[in-house]
This record gives sequence, C-alpha cells and structure tokens, in this order.
Amino acid sequence: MDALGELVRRHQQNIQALAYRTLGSWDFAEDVAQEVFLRVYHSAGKYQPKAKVSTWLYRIAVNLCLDAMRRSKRAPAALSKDADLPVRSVPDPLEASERVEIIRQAVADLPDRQKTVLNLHRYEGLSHRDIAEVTGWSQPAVESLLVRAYANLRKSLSKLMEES
Amino acid sequence: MQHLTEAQLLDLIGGHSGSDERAAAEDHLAACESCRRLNQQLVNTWEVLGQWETIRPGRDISERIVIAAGSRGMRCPSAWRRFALVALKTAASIVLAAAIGYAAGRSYRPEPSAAARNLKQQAAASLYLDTFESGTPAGLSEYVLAATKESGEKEQ
Ligand SMILES: [Zn+2]
Repeated sequence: MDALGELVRRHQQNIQALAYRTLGSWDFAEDVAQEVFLRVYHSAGKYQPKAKVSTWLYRIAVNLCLDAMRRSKRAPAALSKDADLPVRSVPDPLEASERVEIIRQAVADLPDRQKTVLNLHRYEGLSHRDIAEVTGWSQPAVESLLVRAYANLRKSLSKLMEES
Repeated sequence: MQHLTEAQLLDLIGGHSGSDERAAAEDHLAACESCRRLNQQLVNTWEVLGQWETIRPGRDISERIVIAAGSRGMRCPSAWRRFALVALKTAASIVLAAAIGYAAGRSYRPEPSAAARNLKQQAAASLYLDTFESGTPAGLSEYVLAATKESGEKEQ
C-alpha cells in the first residue's frame, strides 16, 4: 500500500491536470485520477515493461477522458456527480480571469482528439512520438491533429494574441 | 527550397527536436520569410496557451486512493503483488550480477559510493522506475520492496 501511495503522490499532479484540462472540472479530474491508479493497482500484471510507467498512466487517463467526453455527448448529466460540471464547467475561482476563461473555452471547443493531443503536447510536454504511444494513434495522425488544433486555436485566440 | 512543415515547427517549439534538426530548422527560418511568419504565429499561440495555469495546491488524493484500493482490494491484490514480486526478482538478480561484477573488478572501479549509486539506478531501471521525474531514481523500488515483504509476511 505504501508503494501505491508513493506512486500516486509522484504522478497525481500530472494526471489530474491532464484530466482537468480535458474535462473542465477538478472533481471529475480527481475521479479520473483515482480510477487510473486503481486500474494500475488491479492490473499491474498487465504492465508492459517496454513502456514508461508515466506513459502507461497517461494512456489510461486519456482513454478514461475520451470515454467521459463520448458519454457526455450522449447524456451530458451523466458526466459528473454535480451534473453541471462536464466539458464546459463553471470557472474555478482560482482561474477566474477573463483571459484564462477565453483560453479554457477555446481548448474546450476543440474536437475531442485535437483537445487530447493539444493537452499532452502543450501542457504535459510530450513529444509527438510519446503522444502517439500514449494515445495509440500513429505519429502522422497525431501530427495532423496537432496542426489542426493549433490552427483552430490560432483563430479562436487571435484577439488575445493581438493584445499580447 | 524545402519549407518546414507545421509539425516540424511544433516539434521545434515544444523542444523535442534533436540538435541537428534544430540547427537545420533555425538555418531555414533565418533564410525563409514565410516559414518565419508561420513559426511566429505558432509561437504566439503557444505562449498565449501558457497563460492557462492549473496549479491547485493542497490536493493530495493518495490517501483516498489507498483506502479505495483496500476496499476493492479483496478481489485482486495478487496482480499488484505479482507485479511487485516480479520487479523484486528482476531487481535482485541485477543487483547480484552487478555486485559480483563489482567485486571482481574492484581494483579499477570508481569509488564505492558512485558504484552503489549506479547499482541503485540499475535496480530502478530494471523496475522501469528510472523514468520517474522526482526523488531518487530508486525511491519507488524501495517502497515496492517494502510492500512485497509486507504482503509476503501477511501470507505466511
Ligand atoms: Zn520556408
């Protein structure tokens, strides 16, 4: 159990931040992170020693987030316990500035796969190859998604870019 | 002139290009106005996105997860224990082999402290724990070993 606690403490920030940016709610991000670590705990035997542990954790998190986004489109209320948190959530009081809200909304508006690769690239610092490994998509597919994501954001964030 | 692709530029901005690729891209950017313009747009987008911070201090969910694992653990803690046991076995054999190598080559080896550090790193690498970002590379292996010992004792 100490090993599990230590594993969580080392990776929880990254996993929660990824889930938060993808799903738009800290409560939901915590639920995803909990599920990621419980799955690792229960499926440790399936770990492929070829992969980095962090890649494995990201992979589970990405799949859970993609599932959650798919489900939220079918039944938006099913996504969160609070029923109002899914993809477009109430702004966190810590991040209530207008600029942050515009950026958050622009990212939230991206199609699911573009949002996933964007978050891994921009905020988790993964290379194109690592993103391909985490998502299971080919590297050319990842690069095409990244190019489209940045092109969309260039448009939707043009006002902010002019300001700065 | 072959222009840089947006994917190449994103790789460059993300800091993942190799040094040769980076040098070649920088040479091209210095000479090509249209790639430079595109690169600047991507850099601007990258920087604006960087304003979205998500630091949320004080949320440690490790305890909650350990409790949840315990309550669900009835069904399958063996997978985790197996993982830890396999890891222990691999680590032990590598540590042993390295220790024999160390004893055999003691006269021309570096200082023991460096060798010990190296051993620890090898053990961590064998557990695939060497990629953890924080703490000592072998930090988690110690926890895994302790947990394995613990679970082994409980079983007896
Ligand atoms: Zn060019």
